[in-house]
Amino acid sequence: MFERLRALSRDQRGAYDLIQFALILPIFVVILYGSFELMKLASIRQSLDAGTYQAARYLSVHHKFYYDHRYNRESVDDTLRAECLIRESLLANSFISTDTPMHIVIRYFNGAGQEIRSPVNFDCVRIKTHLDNPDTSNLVFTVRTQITLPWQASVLGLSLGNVTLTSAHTTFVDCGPWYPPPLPTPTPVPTPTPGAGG
Amino acid sequence: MFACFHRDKKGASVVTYALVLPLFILLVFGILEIWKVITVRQSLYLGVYQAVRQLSSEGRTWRLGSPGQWEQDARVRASGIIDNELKRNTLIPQGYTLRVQVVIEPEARGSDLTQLGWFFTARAELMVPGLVTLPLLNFGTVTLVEQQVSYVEGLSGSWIPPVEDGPY
Repeated sequence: MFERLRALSRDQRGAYDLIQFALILPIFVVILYGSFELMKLASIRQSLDAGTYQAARYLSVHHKFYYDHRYNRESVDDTLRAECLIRESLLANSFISTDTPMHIVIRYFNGAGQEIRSPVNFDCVRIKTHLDNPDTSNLVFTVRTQITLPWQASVLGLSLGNVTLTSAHTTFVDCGPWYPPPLPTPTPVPTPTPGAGG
Repeated sequence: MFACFHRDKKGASVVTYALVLPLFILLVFGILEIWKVITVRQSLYLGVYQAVRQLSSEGRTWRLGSPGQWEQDARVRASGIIDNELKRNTLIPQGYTLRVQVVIEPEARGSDLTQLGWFFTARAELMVPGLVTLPLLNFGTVTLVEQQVSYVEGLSGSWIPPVEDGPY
């Protein structure tokens, strides 16, 4: 019995397998959890893309002419609302919570690639002269978004520093099939329905 | 002939092979199952995107009084569009449950939907029983959630045809 145990303790053959396993295990763990982290990253990136797209689409329709007093939109900051759309799209992702300290940088570029303040001040009154011009690059604008957020690995809560994701969407200024745009319909006065309420 | 096999110590690699084979099979089929989940997720994403796009461009044409009614109508339409997109994916087994929720911005509540550009959120929850089928492992019902934010596009008032000297 003891002779057998002593023989087993002297047995070195299994050591190679154990060492091999110990060498492979960390690599295996890194691949396993790393793929999960990459999935998370791709998901956030997709949300950022969706938000950038929605913001660009919002800005392509909402321009200066909406600031006319007749459209009752002086108080609306469309740039702010477009940026809110990006933030909301990111928060719609289940991997991002409201207390995630994310840093979002949104920049706007015109068709020539120069940075502009915001495409909302596009001069829509002169849309016809812009369209008669064969060079329509002045109707083009790009929204570039960059998000930086601290990356925390799901396993052991490891802090992996900051991660930065970028996205961009290029679109054109769309004045709609109508110009000038129709005026808003006045708010209908709610008529009390008979029998309803008390 | 068999005696030489019996003496052969190199056969130990066969044992290793037999141990690794189930893991290898699990890995290969696991990758296939993951790919299946990814395609279903992509279908759901596309369906929600199409629903959001339609609600965004046509949401202004439904003059339905209150935001609550708008949400109800939007939910029915979005469910139809998402379901249609999911049916195009043949990898989704029958008997799935799709729950759609459309919520409009809180500021839009309490008033009529006259001013446009309101944000709304469309959330779809897809529960697929038996999506991942692997031997000895029971994954039960796989739940996928997709949520997208957009806005009600267009101007207030009804659409008018292009004017004679207009740009379009």
